[in-house]
Amino acid sequence: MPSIFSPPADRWIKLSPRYAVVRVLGAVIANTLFWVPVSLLWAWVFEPRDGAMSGVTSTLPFAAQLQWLAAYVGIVWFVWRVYRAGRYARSWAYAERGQDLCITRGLWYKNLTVVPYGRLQIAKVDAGPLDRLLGLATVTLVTASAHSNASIPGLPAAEAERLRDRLIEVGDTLGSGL
Amino acid sequence: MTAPYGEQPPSYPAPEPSEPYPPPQPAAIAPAVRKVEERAHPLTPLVRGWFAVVAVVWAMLQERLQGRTDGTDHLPWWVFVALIGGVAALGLVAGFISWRFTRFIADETELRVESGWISRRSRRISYTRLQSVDVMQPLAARLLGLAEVRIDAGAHDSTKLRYLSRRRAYELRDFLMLRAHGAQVSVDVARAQTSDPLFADLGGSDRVIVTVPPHELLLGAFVSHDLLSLIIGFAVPVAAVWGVATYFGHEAAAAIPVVALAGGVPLLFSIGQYFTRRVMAQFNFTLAETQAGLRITRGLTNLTSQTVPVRRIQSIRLSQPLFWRPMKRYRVDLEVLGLGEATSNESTSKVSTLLLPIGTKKQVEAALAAVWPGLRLDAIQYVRSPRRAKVFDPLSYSWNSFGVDDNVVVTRRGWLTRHQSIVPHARLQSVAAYQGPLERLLGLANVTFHTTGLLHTHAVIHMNADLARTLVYDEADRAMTSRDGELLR
Repeated sequence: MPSIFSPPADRWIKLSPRYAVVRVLGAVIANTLFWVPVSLLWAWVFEPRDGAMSGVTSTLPFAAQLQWLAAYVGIVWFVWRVYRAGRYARSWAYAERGQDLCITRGLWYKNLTVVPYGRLQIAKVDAGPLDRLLGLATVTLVTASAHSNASIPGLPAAEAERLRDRLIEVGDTLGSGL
Repeated sequence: MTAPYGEQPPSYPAPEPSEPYPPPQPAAIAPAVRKVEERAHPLTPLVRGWFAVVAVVWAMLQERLQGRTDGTDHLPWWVFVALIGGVAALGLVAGFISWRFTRFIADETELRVESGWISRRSRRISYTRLQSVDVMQPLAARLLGLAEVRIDAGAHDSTKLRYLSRRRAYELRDFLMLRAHGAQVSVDVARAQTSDPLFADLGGSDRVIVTVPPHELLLGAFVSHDLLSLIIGFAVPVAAVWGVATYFGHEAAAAIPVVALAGGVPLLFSIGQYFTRRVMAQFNFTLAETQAGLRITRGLTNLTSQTVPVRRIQSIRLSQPLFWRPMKRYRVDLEVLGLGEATSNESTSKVSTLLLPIGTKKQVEAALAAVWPGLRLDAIQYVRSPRRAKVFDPLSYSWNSFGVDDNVVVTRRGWLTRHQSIVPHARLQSVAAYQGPLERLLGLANVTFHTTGLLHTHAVIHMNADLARTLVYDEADRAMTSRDGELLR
């Protein structure tokens, strides 16, 4: 008996290995643009000193310790994300099976979504600035359900467009009304 | 105001009264439906200005009362009157302008709503895209004999026609629903079939399926989780404080029950409000079968009348709160595409997902038979999770299960409230399996079935992982091959 997440047909089609690079760069940028300024602000507000802000400092006696704890947690989480980026990217895969598209993802929480072609409302291709830098794109399948949540990130741009065109083509022939 | 829909040329082919409605004909040979154009009812500005007036009167009264009690000077009476008059006049003018520039136009293929004075808006709704049409009568409108028509076409917000005379609203509703079903009717046909009752919304050819009497509503409200949580939320903190104070022999301990009793007055008040709201919103709940679909009529002060085309129903959910189990009562919700503003709250007069607020097994069966006559719930074999899943669901283990037949997939879950979702294969949008690390250890997995989404997802949890794989792929196949014809026959 094959495992629940083993390929439906002959094999899974993996993402581009460059998607791991997108994940790492994304984590780095999120950290430098958001968390670093936030921690600097925190350090400035709770810096022990006399004067107007001393009241704030005294109400939070462990501010300095809390600050370091938060920083460690943040750093560990960041390192973990970077370390797992390769494996996370490899956990994504898709496959066509008869009249539907199957997508799997996740390391700890594994997910398998199957979208029948006939339910496809829109197939679209998006590429953010990082994606474009590395020549990647995301294909999203939109059905009438908000829960479907079926998208495949990190595909080489040409393949993403090919997949989208193919999805629209089969969706047209198999489509059914609501 | 005369009725423009009635001003059609007599050359229009009159339908046979014996025939419910003419069979759909190809557009090419269909008689040209003449364009009809109409404004909202001239009393509309009054209804729309009403809320502003009430709000000002209320604020002024409070101001006067407070002024009296704390001895300060209150505003002279003429300011009072002038303010109310000014607000009322402003409201009337704004209402008049919006009325003056709003027109509804019904032609052969679509309904157009044009509105706006400074920036003009034109909405077009194709009859073939209609999902449901509801008639709402808020108290103020109802007193003037007016009603609002609300049209859902699958978008996030519905188009509201405010306000038409009640009769006109029902006529328009019936016309739209018949068109939505593909019948090439004229407005005259719809008109001939519409009646104009004050409390119900039933025509001569309509068949009542279920009515819910007020005592059933009260019973349902009385043993609901909402009431219980209201009481527990009050009693538990009080008991805890009292217990701790007594234990430590604090002198305040004796006073706490007295304080709590005083606090009980607002509690009783909110319980009373809870009961009245719920009963008033669901009063005279009537589920009827009409030519245009299922019709749900309810409400004491605000009358709500929803019409749902049966073909557009995406899924149905039965639920049973813990204390309804010994009484064998169920609640039924349905999911329709495009009820963008619908709520599952049973205490409002808004458009809701309710098909039956409370009902016995027999009533539930009658309601289900009206929706999907081909549904055979009794014949479905349910598959439960393996015994090792008990670790995750000690309380709902015996209920968690799923069953499949040729037409539908049925899932059961929940322990405090038992839910049972019925999703036709033909209405399934996508299907997913997921598995966390602990579930992987025990060889279990969850499967969710995605429909167009008002009710939260339909899922089987903690089932055998190997079975989950088969279920996901088989269900995707059935979604493509299954048609709902059999279910609707």
